Amino acid sequence: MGLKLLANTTLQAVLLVIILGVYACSLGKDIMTLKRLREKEAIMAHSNTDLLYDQPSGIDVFGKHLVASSFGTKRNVVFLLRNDSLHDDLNFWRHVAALLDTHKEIGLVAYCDGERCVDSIRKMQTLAFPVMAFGEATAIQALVNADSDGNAIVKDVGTQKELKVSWRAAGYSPQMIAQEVVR
Amino acid sequence: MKLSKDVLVRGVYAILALVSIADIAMFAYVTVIRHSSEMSAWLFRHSIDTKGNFPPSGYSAAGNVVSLSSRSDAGWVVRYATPRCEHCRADEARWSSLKSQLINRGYRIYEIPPTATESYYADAPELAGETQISFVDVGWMKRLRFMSTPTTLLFNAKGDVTWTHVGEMSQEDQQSALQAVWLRR
Repeated sequence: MGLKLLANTTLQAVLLVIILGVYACSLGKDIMTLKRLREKEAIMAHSNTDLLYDQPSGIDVFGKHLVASSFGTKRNVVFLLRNDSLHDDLNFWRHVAALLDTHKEIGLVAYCDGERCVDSIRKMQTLAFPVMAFGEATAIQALVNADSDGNAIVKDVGTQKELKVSWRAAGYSPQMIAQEVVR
Repeated sequence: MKLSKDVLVRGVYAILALVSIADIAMFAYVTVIRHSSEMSAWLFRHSIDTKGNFPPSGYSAAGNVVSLSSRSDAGWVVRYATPRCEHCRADEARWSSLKSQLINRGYRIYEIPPTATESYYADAPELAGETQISFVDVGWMKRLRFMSTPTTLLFNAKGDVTWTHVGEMSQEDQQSALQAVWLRR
């Protein structure tokens, strides 16, 4: 009697192992499908980094509508100001602006990375370059991508050629950026 | 004979325990990954950005401030699209149908074009809780990773993303969006 019960219980356990095994196979297939989906998503996310900055167009921190044609420059240097390092960022670009003062064909355009940055800029004296608070979706995406690599974007108005210049990394000075931009 | 039977029984139970543990682990993994895929977490630069968002603010292509109130007890939708995109035009009927159902449920709709010149309207008409923002708040936009039009994102009143879709919508997609409205309030 006891032996029969044991056999029955073991048989049930074997059946359960088979059922759970089949379920594990199905989950395994799901994992493979999701893995492929993940790879596709990674490609999609990466392709966002291919977006190009078009032109400086938007609303500055004072609510003024700035259009590309109003800049009258041949080349624009576009960069993001981070609230967390606003003081250092502004010092860096003030210096670059001073070095490029004689190059009227080159314009500097900044974008603020959020409301706190916008509020701080509003309280300051006039800067040597406009600071955007609102911009076009694609332009912001391209700029945020460049900034996350520590870069600014140099955009040639005539040829639409785009160049990235590193400025956030250690060892890059305003002089180096000014030289790079003028070249 | 008895010993080998004991070994066999113990072996079966050991396998049962192992398979059960493997099933639980795989099920948990699939559930987590599936959830993050449904939310298209890659659309956000950081996973933390999928929660507690605020609606976008900004200006029209003509440079006028968008004054649509961001307050909504239901939630809000961001539609990244342009009339110049073929897939957006093909998706127009389905999107219009979904949009009107969402507006009826109290959702606010924010349409964002890739560039100001690709806007639907030069200004930002506010039609029954719907508007268009051509110049978007940089602080809002930097959280996202938009790359192809049309992209549709649903947020609940708490600002948590509840549903996303990239590309043209099918009937099933429309249904799943409405399900998300009910399930993830």
